Amino acid sequence: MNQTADILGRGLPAAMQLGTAASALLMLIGLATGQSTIVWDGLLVLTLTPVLQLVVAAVGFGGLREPRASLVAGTVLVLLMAALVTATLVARGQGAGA
Amino acid sequence: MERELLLFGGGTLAGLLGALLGIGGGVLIVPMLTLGFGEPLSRSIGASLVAVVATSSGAGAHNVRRRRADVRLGLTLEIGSVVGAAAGGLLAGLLADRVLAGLFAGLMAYVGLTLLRRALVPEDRAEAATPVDAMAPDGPQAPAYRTRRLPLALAGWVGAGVVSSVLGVGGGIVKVPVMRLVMGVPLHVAAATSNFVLGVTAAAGAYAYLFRGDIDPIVAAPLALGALTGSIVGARIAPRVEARWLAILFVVLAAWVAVQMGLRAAGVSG
Repeated sequence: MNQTADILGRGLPAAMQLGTAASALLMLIGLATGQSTIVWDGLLVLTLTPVLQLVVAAVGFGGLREPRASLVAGTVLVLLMAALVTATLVARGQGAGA
Repeated sequence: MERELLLFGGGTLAGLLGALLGIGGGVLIVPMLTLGFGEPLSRSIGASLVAVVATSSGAGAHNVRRRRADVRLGLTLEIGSVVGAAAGGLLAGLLADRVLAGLFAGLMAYVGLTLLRRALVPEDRAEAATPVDAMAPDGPQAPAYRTRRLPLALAGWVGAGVVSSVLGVGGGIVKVPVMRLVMGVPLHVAAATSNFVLGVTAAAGAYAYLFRGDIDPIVAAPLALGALTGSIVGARIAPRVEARWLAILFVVLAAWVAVQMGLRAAGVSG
């Protein structure tokens, strides 16, 4: 239980905060300089923060020797990446996108 | 710049109120953008999803650190939610704004009734006081609710994912009742668990809007920054705030929004 607190209790919040901090920085730079492409990159980084969250969860549970939980986190990660790829392909097919 | 500052302020308020009321920012952000800033509903929904990712990352980290969120259960149920959200995000591109407005009106009516009930019915203090180690590993120490009627709960979370990406909300308004009613998860654990995975669900739906060009970066970015700020502050002050009167105020607001969206769906207002 203490191991969970150390690995997940610290790792997950750190991953979430790292992703949001990086995205916030990009968005602020983009807004300040008027470059919407940098703002868009910041939004993309923000939506990829859950990916980082899931990677940490999968690795963290693996380190705790909880294969089922690690597999579940990995499954959600694969599904999320599939959603990203599908959205990209559909948008390209429709000739839309940023 | 003035518009960006207003969007930041609106996002902050939405993030703060969402954290205090436990409802997520989407139900506040979508009507704010549509009715307040005149944004098309489909673009408001896309921007709201991005803001929900921000609020989840802000408040969710706080709940994990305090062992309130059942990470194992949340990730298991999230399998269904991501599938629903991804499908919903693609589906939303096919729906007319009037249809979305009608669906959102229904959602606001449901949210308003839920909050009204919560404000009028005293919280189950015994349940809130019962210690539950949400972060306990699977096995003998795991909470009993974690495997109770799991397939049914998964199906419920697929629906939550669809609602999330079609209407621009986090889906917690469906996820929390599913956990409570189907699995018997205590309310404080269900709310924290939902908050932890809201960002994953919202991201799955947001990708479709992002790559379809349905998110205006200059609207979404200040909104997301504000929502992040508000949710971080809200998560910290929530235990010290008596939210009952805020909830009643929100019920009145929800009723007004439901009417406005209903009129929009009927083609009465623009």
